Amino acid sequence: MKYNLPRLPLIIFLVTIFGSLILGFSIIYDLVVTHSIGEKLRFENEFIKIDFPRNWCAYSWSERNITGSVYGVFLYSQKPSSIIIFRIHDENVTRHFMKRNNLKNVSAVINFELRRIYSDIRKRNENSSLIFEETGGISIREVQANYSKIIIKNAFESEGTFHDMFCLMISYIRNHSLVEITLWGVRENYEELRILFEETLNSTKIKV
Amino acid sequence: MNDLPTKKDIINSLIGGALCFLSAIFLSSFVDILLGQILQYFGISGVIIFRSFYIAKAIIFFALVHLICGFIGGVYTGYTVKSRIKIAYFITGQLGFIGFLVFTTFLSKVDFMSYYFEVIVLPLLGNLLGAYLGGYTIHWKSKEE
Repeated sequence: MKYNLPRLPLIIFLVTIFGSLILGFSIIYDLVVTHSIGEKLRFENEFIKIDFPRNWCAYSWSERNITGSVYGVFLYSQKPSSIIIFRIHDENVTRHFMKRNNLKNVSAVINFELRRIYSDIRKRNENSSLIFEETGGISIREVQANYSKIIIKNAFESEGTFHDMFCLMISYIRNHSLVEITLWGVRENYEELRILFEETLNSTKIKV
Repeated sequence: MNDLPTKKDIINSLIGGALCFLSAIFLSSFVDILLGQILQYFGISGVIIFRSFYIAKAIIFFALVHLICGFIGGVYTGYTVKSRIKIAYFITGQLGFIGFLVFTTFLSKVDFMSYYFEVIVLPLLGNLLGAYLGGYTIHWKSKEE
């Protein structure tokens, strides 16, 4: 009778694969368990504390250059399709940015950013048009902020149909640091997204 | 002097390394998509915001990409290099790692200092370990009764 014993290197190989997979997925499971607040995930660092839906994609980044640093958080939901971006500029970047673009106050910053977004879209789609729908003041955690909502008609084409988009931008300056919060979405989903956005905003603490 | 690799051995090791590198390109895209689908299926895509997620992802990539690719390269090298030359597996694993590192560096700007564990340590370890295990699996003497 002839038989082959399993080859030891092959066993080590398979055990290492399964062991690593168990370890990797355990870390992910632990992350979910330790950061879950109900159906949301809590992300907190020295810049921001935010609770957002678990099924949203989320990234954070930090840009540093000679003028200073900008910290950002990007949240993306597939259904309904929307994007929320938080950008926190430090004192030097805020001063440099406002001076370079000749911006005197937060309203001017919002106006400048929204027009910049629109001009980017217009480069790709010349049929698009801009409507300033709403502008005003809002209080976020005892900080007075300004906001503007724009509609970009025929912003993008999907399956042969043009869709309108909305963009809501909230901005304020606190301790000489500029904070920008932007909500993007398809116009038809505005009401649904507004509720989600308000919930996210209410749970957010920006540490400037 | 038998331990010194011949020119043919080195060429076969390099082919093994190229196999390792090519399978890494294919497998890394596949595993990336698969992991994204798993997170989406369980409704936990948001975990990617945490730094620890990238360590978990690197460990999963170590298992499903680098170890397997090293193993594939090692099996080829083990078949073609008949004498047990350890350096042949080292060349295979090392070439696979360097090729993949250059490829990812060209594809995206990699911060080596912040992510050395995910970008250098685990892929290098996976390719080398995989190549040795693949090679020794071929040369392992099975017991007969």
